[in-house]
Amino acid sequence: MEKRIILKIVFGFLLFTSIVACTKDIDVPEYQFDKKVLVLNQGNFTEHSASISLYDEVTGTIQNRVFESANGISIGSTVVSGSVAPGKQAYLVCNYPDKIEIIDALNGKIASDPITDGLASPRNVIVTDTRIYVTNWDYNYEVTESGIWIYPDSYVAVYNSLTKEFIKKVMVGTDAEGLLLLGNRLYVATREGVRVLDTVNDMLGQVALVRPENVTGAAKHLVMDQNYKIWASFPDKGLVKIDPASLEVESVVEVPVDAMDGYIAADYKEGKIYTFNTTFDQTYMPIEANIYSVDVESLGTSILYSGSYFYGVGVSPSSGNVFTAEVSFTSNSVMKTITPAGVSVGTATAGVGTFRFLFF
Amino acid sequence: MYRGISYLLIIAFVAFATEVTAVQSCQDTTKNYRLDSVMVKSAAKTPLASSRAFAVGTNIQRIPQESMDRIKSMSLSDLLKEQASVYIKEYGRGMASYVSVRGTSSSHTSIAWNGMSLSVPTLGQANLSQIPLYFFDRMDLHIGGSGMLYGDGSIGGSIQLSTLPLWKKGVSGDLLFSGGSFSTLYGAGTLRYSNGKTESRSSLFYTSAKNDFMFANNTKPGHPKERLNNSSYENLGAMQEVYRKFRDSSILSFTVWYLNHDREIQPSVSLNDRPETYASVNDRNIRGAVNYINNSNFLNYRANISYSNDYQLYKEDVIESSKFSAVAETEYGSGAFIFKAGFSAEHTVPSAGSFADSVKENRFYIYGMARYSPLSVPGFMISAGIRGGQVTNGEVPVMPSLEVKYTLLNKNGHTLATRGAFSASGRVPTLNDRYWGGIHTYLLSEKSNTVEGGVDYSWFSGNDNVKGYITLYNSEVENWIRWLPAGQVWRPQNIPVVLSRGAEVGASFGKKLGGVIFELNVDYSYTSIKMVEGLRENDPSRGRQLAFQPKHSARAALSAHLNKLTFYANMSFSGERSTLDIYDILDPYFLTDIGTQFESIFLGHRFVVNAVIKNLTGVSYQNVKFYAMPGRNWNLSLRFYF
Repeated sequence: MEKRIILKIVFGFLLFTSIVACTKDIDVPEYQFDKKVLVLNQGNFTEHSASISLYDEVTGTIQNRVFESANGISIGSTVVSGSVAPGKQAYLVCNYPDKIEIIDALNGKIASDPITDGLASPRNVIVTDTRIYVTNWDYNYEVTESGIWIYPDSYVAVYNSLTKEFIKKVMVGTDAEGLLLLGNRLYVATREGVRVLDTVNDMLGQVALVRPENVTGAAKHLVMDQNYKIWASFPDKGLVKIDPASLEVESVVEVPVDAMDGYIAADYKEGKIYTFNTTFDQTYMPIEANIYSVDVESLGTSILYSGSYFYGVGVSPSSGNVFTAEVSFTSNSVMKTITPAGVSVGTATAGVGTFRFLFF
Repeated sequence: MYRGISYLLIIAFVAFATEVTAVQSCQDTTKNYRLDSVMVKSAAKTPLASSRAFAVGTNIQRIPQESMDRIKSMSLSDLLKEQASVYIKEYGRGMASYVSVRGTSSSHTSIAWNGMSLSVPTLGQANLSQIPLYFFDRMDLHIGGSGMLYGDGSIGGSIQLSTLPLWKKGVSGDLLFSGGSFSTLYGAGTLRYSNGKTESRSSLFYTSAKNDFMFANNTKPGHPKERLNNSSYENLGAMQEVYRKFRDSSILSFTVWYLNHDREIQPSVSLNDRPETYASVNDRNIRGAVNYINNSNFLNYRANISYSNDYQLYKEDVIESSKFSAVAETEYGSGAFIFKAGFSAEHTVPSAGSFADSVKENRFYIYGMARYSPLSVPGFMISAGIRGGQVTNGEVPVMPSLEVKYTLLNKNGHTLATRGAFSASGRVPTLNDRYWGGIHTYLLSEKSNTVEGGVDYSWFSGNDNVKGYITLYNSEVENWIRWLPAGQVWRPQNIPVVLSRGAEVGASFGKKLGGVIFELNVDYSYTSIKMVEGLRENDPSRGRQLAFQPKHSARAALSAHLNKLTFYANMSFSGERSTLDIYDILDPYFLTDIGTQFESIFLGHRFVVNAVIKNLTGVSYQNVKFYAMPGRNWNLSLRFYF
C-alpha cells in the first residue's frame, strides 16, 4: 500500500498526470521504474557542449554521450532542463538553438523530430498525455539596476502532445521558470511569484498569483510533497510551502537555495525537500557547497552532504538516493550518489555541467 | 570553376615538365652552390642586434620570403597553418583565429610588428585572421618561452613581424589582385619612393568574401549538406611608413596603420538556420610609431614611441583601449661580446561597459641581455638575460634566461650543433582578467619555467642540402588563468600547474635534378599538455590533454622550382583533440593544398601568377567543434611589380 502511494506521488511529481481533481483521493496509474537515470549535462554555453549520460542505479555504471552514440549527431546546444514522459520518452529542453529534442530515454535514440515552433529561450517542460507545456523567457530583456538581465515577456507555450503541434502561447510575466501541473491547474514560477493557471479547455486564465509577504526575488522551481503541498523555491529567502486548495502560503522556510538555478527536489519516501547552494569567497573561489534537507512536516533544515561546487540535485524514487554533481563547466563533472543519511555511495564521471537527473 | 583551375594547373605542370626537359641539357653549374661558412670581420658599423641574436639555444623559424609572397593576399593565420608547426584554433574561414604554441593558449604567444604588440590589451591576444600578411616583409616564429627577449605573454613563443625599407631609388611598388571560392576578392597596392636618404611606403588592401560554402551539418540526422550563412567579411587597411637616413647612418622612421574589419560571426552549424541568433562584429585597429636607430662602431641605440587604439563593436557593446608606449634600448658590442639593455613603459586606458571608469594601467619593464662567443672556443655561444618590471594592480614576473649553443662539427659541409636553454616567462593578467565586472586583484600573474634542448644538423654538397633538428622541452606553467563559473557570474581563477612537454622534429631536403630544384620540408610536433594540479582534487580532466590541443601535428611542404615556374604542395595533419568534455573526441584531419606559381617579365616589369587549390581532397572537418570549415576551394592571384 505504501509503495502504491509513493508511486502515485511520484507519478504526480513527474507531471504527466491526467487532468484530475486536486485531492488526496486521486487515482493515478502506477509507473514502473527501470532504475535508470538520464543525467543532463548542460555543457559550456559558448561551446554548445551539452551531452546526456545514462546511469544504471542497479549496476552503478554510467554511459556518457548517449545521444551522440545513438544518433551519430551532436545535440549542438545547451540543455537547460528535461522531463521523462510515461512512454519513457525524454523531452530535452535546449537553448541556442532553441529546441526540444525528444529521445527514447532507454537508449538515447531520437524518437521524433524536435519541437522548434513557438520557442524563444525555452526553460522547462512538462508533458501530459494530451498537452506539453513549456515556459519561455522570450528574447526581449531588460537590465536591472544591479545588472541582472530579466525577461518581461515570458510565456508558456502549449503543444499537442501527440502531434507536437504548437497550439498557443500565454503570457505569464517575467522570468518564467519552473512548472508544475496538479489537477487542472498549472503552476508557473515567475519573478512576480507563483502564477496559477486554469488548464481547462486550454484557456490558461490566471486563477491566482501566489507571493509570500516579505519575500523578495523570483520564484524559480516547484515541486510537490507526499501531502500534495506545493513547494516553491525563492532563492532570496528559501522555500515557500503553498496549499493548492486555498492557494495560500502555508509556510516560509529560510534555507540556502542556489541563486542562479534555484532547482529543488522532493523526496517522497523521507518527506524531504532538497536544495543546494554553493558559497564563494572574495576571490570567487567556492568555499562551501551543501545539499540542504528540509523536513516537509517539521520544516526543520539540515545539511545532508557537503562538497566543493554543486549545481543540481535529484532524488531517486527507486533507491531514495540523492544525486548531485561537482561541476566546473570547463571540464567533466563528478556525479555523486548519497544515501538519505548523507553517506556517499558512489561517484561517476559525467559530462560538462551536470545539473539534472531524470529518473525513469 | 574547379575544372578551370585544374586545367590551369595541368597546363602549368606541362609547361613545367617541358622546361625541365629543355634545361636538362644546358645546366648552369655556376648557380646554386653553397660555400663553407666563413667568418668575416669588419670594422663597419653593425646594426642593432635583434632579439633573435640572443636566442642561441632556442629554435627560431624565419618564414621564407617566397612562402610569404605566395599567399600575400591572406592572413597570418593562413601563413602559420601552411608554414609553421603550431596549432591554429579557428572558428571558420576568415573568422576568429588564434595560435597555440606547445599547447599553450593564444595569450601565451606574443605577436609584434617591429616590436610593437599587436595583441589587444583587453584580451591579451590577437586575432590572426585580422593581421594582413600583405603589409609584412619578414616573419620570425620563436618557439618556446621567450619572456626575457620579447616581454609579457611569451610563455609559448613569439611571432615577430617586420616591415623593412628597401632603399631602392625611385618609384617602385606592386599591385596584387586575387579572387577565389566563395566570392573571395582581394586587392592591394604598395607605392614606394626613395631617393636613397628618404623612403616612403604606402600600402592599401581591401578584401571581402561571402564565405557561403557548403558543409555537412553534424547536428542533424543524416548530416545534411547546408550552405553556410552569416559568414561574410569585408576588411580594409592602410599603412604608411616613412624612413629618413641621416649622415651618421642613423634612421628615423614613422609608421602608422589602420585596419577595419567588418565581419559576420560565423554561426555554429547548429545555429546556421537560426537567423535570430546571427551577429556581426566590427574591429578597428590603429597602430602608430616613431622609431629612431643610431648605429655607431661599438654603441648602438634605439628609441621608440608608439600609440595603439583597438576598438570593437559587438551588438551594442563597445570595448576600446588606447595604449601609449615608449622603448629605449642600447647595445654595446666588442669582439666576442654583445650587451644589450633597455626599458619600456606603457600606459593603457581601456573603455568598456563592464570596466570601472577609473581603470587605467601603467606598466614598466627593464631588461638586459648579453651574448658571448669566445674565440678561444670556436663554435660555442652563450647568452643570458633578465627582464623585470612593475604593473598597476599586478605583478610582473622576473624573467631570466640562459641559452647555450655548441657547434660540435663544422666540416666538409656537415654542421652539427647542440643547444640548450632555460627561460622563465610570464604573463600579467589581461585587463579583462583583472577588471571585467570588478577589480580582481586576487589574480596572480602566470609564470612558466621552460627547459629545452636540441640538436641541429645540416649538410650540403653542391646543390644538395639537408637540414634537421630535434628539440625536447619541458615547460611548467603556474597560475594558468581560466574563467570559471562562480554562482551567477564567471570570474578568472589561477590553475595551479599546467605541464607542457613535447618534442619537435623537423627536416628539410633540397636537391637539384636536371635543372629542377626540389625542396621538401617536414615538421612533426608531439605536444603533451596537462593540468597536473587543478583547483579541484577530483577534476576528471586532471592529467589529461587540455581541450582542443592535438598531441600529434605535422606538416610537409614540397616544391619544385624550374626557373620561373614553381609547383608546390602543402600538407598538414592535426591529430585528434577533445573538447572541454574529455569523452568528446574530434576526428583528426589531413589537408592538402597544391598550387603553381609562374613568374615572368611583362613590358619590363616582373609579374607573378599564383594558383592554388586548397583542401584538394575535399576533407570535411571542423577545427573547433561545430564550426564548419570549407571543402575544396581555389584562389588565383596576380602580382605585378613596378
